[in-house]
Amino acid sequence: MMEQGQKASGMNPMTAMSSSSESAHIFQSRDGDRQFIIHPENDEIIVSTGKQIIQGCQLSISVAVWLDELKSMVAHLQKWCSERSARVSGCYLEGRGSKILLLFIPTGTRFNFDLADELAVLNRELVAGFNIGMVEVGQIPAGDVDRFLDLEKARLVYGNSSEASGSVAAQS
Amino acid sequence: MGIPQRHLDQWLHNRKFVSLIPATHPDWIVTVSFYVALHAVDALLQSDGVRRVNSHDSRNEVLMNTRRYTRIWDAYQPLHDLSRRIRYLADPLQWITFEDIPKQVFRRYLYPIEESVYRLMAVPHTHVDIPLQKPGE
Repeated sequence: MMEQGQKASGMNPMTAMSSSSESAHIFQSRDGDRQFIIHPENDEIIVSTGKQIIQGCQLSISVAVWLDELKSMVAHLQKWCSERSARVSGCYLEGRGSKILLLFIPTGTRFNFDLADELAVLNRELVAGFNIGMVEVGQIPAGDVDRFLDLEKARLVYGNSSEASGSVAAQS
Repeated sequence: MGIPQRHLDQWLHNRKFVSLIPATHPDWIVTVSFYVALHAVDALLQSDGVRRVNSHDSRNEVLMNTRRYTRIWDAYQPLHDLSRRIRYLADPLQWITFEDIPKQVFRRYLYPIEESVYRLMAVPHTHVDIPLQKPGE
């Protein structure tokens, strides 16, 4: 809520609407433009409209839902890769703008055309099956992981980094 | 919606160029092949009246999420992925070989895309297999 609200250090705390044991209701139709003054445990005071408070709560809920979807997708990916361990040695996930980038490392040193066919289907299934927005899927050689991914941001969701990334192993 | 002549022309234009690329450069055969497929797809999308396809992401989104284009997507996505990665590899010949081009890149991806586009646009299939330069030429 702090992002939504306006900090107002030094203001005098206002009296609460009701005693702390009772629920306080914020109705956007009635309280949307009304200022609410929030007192965290530190000395800051946050001034926010009813509308901003509602939007902040909605955002928190949607982020939580998205993270749950992402966790489910990662679990699905781990199972998918495990079932294809003969063809897949690693899978990295990285947030890339508004989409999720998934790069798979084949077990051999060459582009695996059978794996590529399966990845096209997987790409469709992930976008249709998980509510996380656009997903981009690809296949890269183990030795070029750091050319296609920011290893500071990317997460290895399957395999281990020494097997999945020749370049990482070479640096360590 | 009529047949989009500009995309058809570019489709053929790129197709002719593929056969001029030396066998020593399969990475660029893949890359140009992808742009053959892209203009075929754009011809279909325009013919279907699909608007707002102005980036790879927006094109991918339409192909991936439209049942009519599922067969195209399943061949287009691997070709797109292969083409966009191979250009950046320091040693692309380790990733694919010239021998992969006719059987894997053309017959597995490019020709099925073209066949689907012809079928969905309801126009006769006129393209022949792309002749490649022989190694050593």
